[in-house]
Formats: sequence, C-alpha cells, structure tokens
Amino acid sequence: MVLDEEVFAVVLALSIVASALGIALTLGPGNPEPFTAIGLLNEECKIGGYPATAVNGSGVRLCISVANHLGHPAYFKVVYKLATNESLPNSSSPSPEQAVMEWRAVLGDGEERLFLITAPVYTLRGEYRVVLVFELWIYSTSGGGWSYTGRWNHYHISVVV
Amino acid sequence: MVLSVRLWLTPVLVLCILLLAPMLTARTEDLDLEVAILVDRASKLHSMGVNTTNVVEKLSSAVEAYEHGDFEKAWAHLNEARKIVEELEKGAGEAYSRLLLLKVATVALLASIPIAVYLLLPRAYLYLWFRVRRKWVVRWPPVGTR
Repeated sequence: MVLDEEVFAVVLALSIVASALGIALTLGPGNPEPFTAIGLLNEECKIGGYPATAVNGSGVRLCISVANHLGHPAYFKVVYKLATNESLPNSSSPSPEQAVMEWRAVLGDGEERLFLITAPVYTLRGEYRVVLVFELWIYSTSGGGWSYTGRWNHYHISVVV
Repeated sequence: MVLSVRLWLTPVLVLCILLLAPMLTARTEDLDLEVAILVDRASKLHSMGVNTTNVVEKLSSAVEAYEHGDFEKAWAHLNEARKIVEELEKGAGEAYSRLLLLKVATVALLASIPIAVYLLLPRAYLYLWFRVRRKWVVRWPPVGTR
C-alpha cells in the first residue's frame, strides 16, 4: 500500500498547524499575561491558622508572599496598614490609612519572596475589630515613584485589651 | 535641676528628630530611586537576553541591608550592582544579536517542517515500504493460477 493522498494531506496539514503555532510562540511576547501576586500566610508560611485575636499593642507573626511574573525584574514593597471595614483598599485605590510598616524586595522574573513579619496590632479610633491590610506597591521610574498594583490581602482580627 | 535639664533637653531632642526625619526620608527616597533605576537597566538587559540574576541578587542584598538599617552596606551592594550592570551593558549588543540569531534559526527550522514533510514524507514512506518488504519474492502469475 503506497501513501494514501488523503492521509498525506492530513499529515501535511498537521505539520503546517504545528509549525505556525511554534513560530507564533517563538515570535510572540515572552510573557503574554504579566502579573504580580501577594499572599498572606500564617507564621509557618502556610495557608490557614491565622490568629483570631491579639492583645492590644502586641505583634502578630505572619508570612507574606510576593511573586513577580511581569516578564522582567521589578522593585516591590509591601505596605502594612491597620484599617476598618470603611477604609479597606480596592483594586484601584489603596487604603487611606497611614502605613504602619513596609517591606521591600527586588524580584527577578518568576521569583517569589517570603517575608516573615511581626505586624503590630492595636485598637483603631476605638474600634476593637480591626483589619490587617497588606498592599503590594511597585516602583516605576517612568511613573514617578511608588504606585499601587491593585493587589492586596486583608484579614480581620479582634483586639483584646 | 533635673527638671530644668529635662526642660531644655526635650525641645533639643524634638528638634533633632525634626531635622533627622527629612534626612532619613531623603535617604530612603534616594535608595528607592537608585534601586529602581538599576532595576530598569536590568529589565532592559533581561529583554535583550542577558542573564541578570547576579544584578537582582545584589539589589536584593542592598534592599535587605537597608531594611536592617545598615545604610553603608546597602550602598556598597548598590555600587556593586551598578558595576555588574555596566559590565553586562557592554556585552548586551552581542547577547542581543545571539538572541536574534537564535530566534531567526528557530523560525527558519519551524517553517521548514511543512516543506520537509511535503518533500520527504512520500520518499521516506516508500523507502521504508520497500525496505520492510525487501525479502519478499514476487511470483507471476500467482501460485495456483498457472
């Protein structure tokens, strides 16, 4: 049996599709969907098991994970703020509260960094139920300094006096 | 006496803090800007196919030293990072040409696959077809029909 013409046409079509796909991947952008990520973990750097209460003026040990998938190295900082339900950040604007602490990191493309931190917790304007907010900021020389990435983590905690 | 010392010491301390605070802030801003400029230069090198792992490591060390309050060490790491970036920038053109050449070669190789399939597949198939059957004996007319 010699090579059937229809089978040959199908094999040829498959090779053309595979070749076109390979060329598109080679010439396309290195990272088609660039993104950054921030994660909130417990003091063992694992998900879950976050403290529900904290003594006023004490520190809560947590772990913050920051990942860079922008396709190039970047300079980040995590800004810690104590907030209430009314002053939470959203994807376009950060929390209006004052920054309590900051942690900086330079990450290469595809790199992740874990920060083991102690976040001070205290009552805020008489509120015993406060929110620990961790915002991710990125430095851009063209954008004139630090800018909010729109990514944040928060969790509620009860302050015990 | 103790009270009077406290009286004049407190304004002096407040004045010191007020004078030092902008200096510290300026120092932070300087470092941030310096790190960001080097990160930008490293990003450009990265897009040209240069390995920037060493620069990122040095910049991370600088930021870490700064976070621990060791400004001198932070600036030392920054200077080292700057030197590495300058050295990498010298060879960046060559690395970029290599990257381009590699891309062109990959595209040429991928584009040649359908042509190779079109030209070689029937020949290869026939070659294998005959090779598999090379020990076959053809008798004509078929046995039993004579």
